[in-house]
Amino acid sequence: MTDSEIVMLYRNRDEEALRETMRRYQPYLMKTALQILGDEQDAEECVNDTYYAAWNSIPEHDPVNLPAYLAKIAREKAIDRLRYRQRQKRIGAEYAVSFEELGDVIADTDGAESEADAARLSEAISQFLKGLPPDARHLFLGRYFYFDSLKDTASYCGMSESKAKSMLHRTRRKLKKFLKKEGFYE
Amino acid sequence: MNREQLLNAIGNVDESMIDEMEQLRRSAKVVTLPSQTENASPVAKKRSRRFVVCLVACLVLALGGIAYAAASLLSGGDLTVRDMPQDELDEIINNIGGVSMRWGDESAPADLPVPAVGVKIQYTVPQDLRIPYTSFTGNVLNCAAEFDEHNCSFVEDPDGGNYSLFSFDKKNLPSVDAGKQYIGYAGLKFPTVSLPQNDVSVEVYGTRTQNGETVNDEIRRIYLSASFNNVQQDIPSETYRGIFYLHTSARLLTENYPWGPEDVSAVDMSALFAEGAQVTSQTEDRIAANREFRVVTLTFTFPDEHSDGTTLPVCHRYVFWQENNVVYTLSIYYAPESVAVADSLISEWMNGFAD
Repeated sequence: MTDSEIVMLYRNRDEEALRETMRRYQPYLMKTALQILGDEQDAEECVNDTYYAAWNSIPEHDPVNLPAYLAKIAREKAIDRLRYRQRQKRIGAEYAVSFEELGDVIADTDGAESEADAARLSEAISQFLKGLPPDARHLFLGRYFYFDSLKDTASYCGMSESKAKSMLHRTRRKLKKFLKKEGFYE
Repeated sequence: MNREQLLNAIGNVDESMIDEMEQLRRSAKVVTLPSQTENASPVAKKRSRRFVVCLVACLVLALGGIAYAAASLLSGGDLTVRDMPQDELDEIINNIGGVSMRWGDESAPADLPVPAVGVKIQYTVPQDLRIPYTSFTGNVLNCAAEFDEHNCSFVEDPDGGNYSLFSFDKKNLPSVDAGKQYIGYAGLKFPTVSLPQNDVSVEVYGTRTQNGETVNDEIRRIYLSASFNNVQQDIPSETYRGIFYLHTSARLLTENYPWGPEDVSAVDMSALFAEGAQVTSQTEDRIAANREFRVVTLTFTFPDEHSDGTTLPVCHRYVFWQENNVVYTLSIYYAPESVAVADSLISEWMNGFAD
C-alpha cells in the first residue's frame, strides 16, 4: 500500500489507515520519539498519541509527504511530553544536549510569542535552511529536528564528528545572524 | 523568543526538507522505512530472502577484501575544485595590479574588463593538524627575534571572512635538509625531484602585530618550500614543451593556530588572463608508496599566442598529501605533450614519502 492510499483511508475514516500506518512507520516514529525522550515506554505512548493526532488532523490537512508529516507530529508530541517530564528532571540525553547547543542562537528570554510569530519564525528558519549547502542543512536537521546524536548525524552526513561539530557551530552562528537580521530579536 | 520556541519552529520547517532527511537517514539505516512498492508474496519473500542471504555473503567477502586493502592504504584529505566566478577573478585582477594588468596598456580605462578564467582548489583535512610547540626543536621558534615583520597573509577563515597572519620573514636556505633542520619537526618529510633546484625557503607566519599593535610573538604557521625548474637548459622558450616548473611545499600549524578541527589545508587559485581562454579541470586519486594522493589537473587553452610569447595549451597539476599533521603540496606546469615526464616527476615525489 502506498502512502497516498493510506492517506485516502484516513480521509475515508477507515481504521485500516491506523493499522497500515503502524505497520509501515512504527519503527521510524519510535526512533524519532526515543531520540527525544530516551525512554521506550514514553516513546511508545508518544507514538500512540501521534496516530491519534494524525487520525484527527488528516481530513483537515492533506499531507503531501506522510512520513514527514507524522515525524513532525511525533516530534511535537515528544517535546510536549518532555516538557511535562522536565518538571521531574527526566530529560532525554540528546535532546538536552541539542537544547543546550541552541543557546548559541538564542538566550532564553521572555517566552511570550503569538501563533503568527511562531509561523513566521518557522517560515524564516525554512528559508534559512534552504539557503544552506545540503551538508550543513542535513546536519542541522539531524541534530535539531530528529535530535540524532552527533556521532550518528556526522556518520550519515559522511563526515567526521569534529567536522560536523565545527559545521554545526558555524550554522548556529549564521542562524543567529540571520534571525537578528530578520528582526526576531535585538 | 526562547530556545523552546526555536525548537518548536524547527519542528515546523518545510516538509520537503524532512523528506530529504528521511532519504538520507534511511540510506544510512538510521531509520527503517518500508519502500513504496512493498507488497511481495510470502513465496517471493522467501525466495528473495535466500537471494539476499547469498548476496550479503558475496558482499561481505567483497567488502572484506576492500576493507583489508583500504586498511593498509593511507588516505589524505578531501579535494574540491570549482570555477571562479567573475567577481572573484575581478578581485584578483585588482589585487595584482588593476590597470597595469590590462595588457600593459596604461592608458586603458580602469573599468575595462580583463578577460580571465580561473579555478579555485581547496584541499581540506577534517582533523586537527596543530602541532605542539615542544615538537619543534629547530631555531624556527626564535625567528621573531631574528627577523623583522614583513608580509601579511590572509587565510580563509572557516567561519567566513579572512583571518590575517603576519609573516616574520622568508628565510632562504641552501638546501632542503637545512630547511628541515631549521624547523626541527621529526614528522616532516620533504621529498625532492630530479630537476635543478632553484631555491629553498622557510616562511613563518604569526601574530607579531595585529591592527598595528604588538600582540605577541606567537608562531602560527610555517612553510618549507622548494622550487625546481629546468629553464636554464637550452630549450626553445616560446613554448612550455620540455620546460617544467615544479614547486613543493610543506605546511605546519602550531598549537597557536586559531582553528584546527576542520582544516582548510591549502587554498590555491590558478587563473589565466587571456582573451578567449578556457580552463578544464580533472581530479583523480593516485596511489604510490602505499598512500592515496589527491591530484587535480587544470588545462588552459587559448586561441592565440599568449602575451608572454608562449603558446598554449598549458597544464597545471597539483598533488596534495597530508601526513604526520603536515600538509604537502606539489604543483607543476608543463605542456600537454610533456605529460609523461611530468608524471614521472610527480611519481618520484610521491614515492619519496615511502617509510
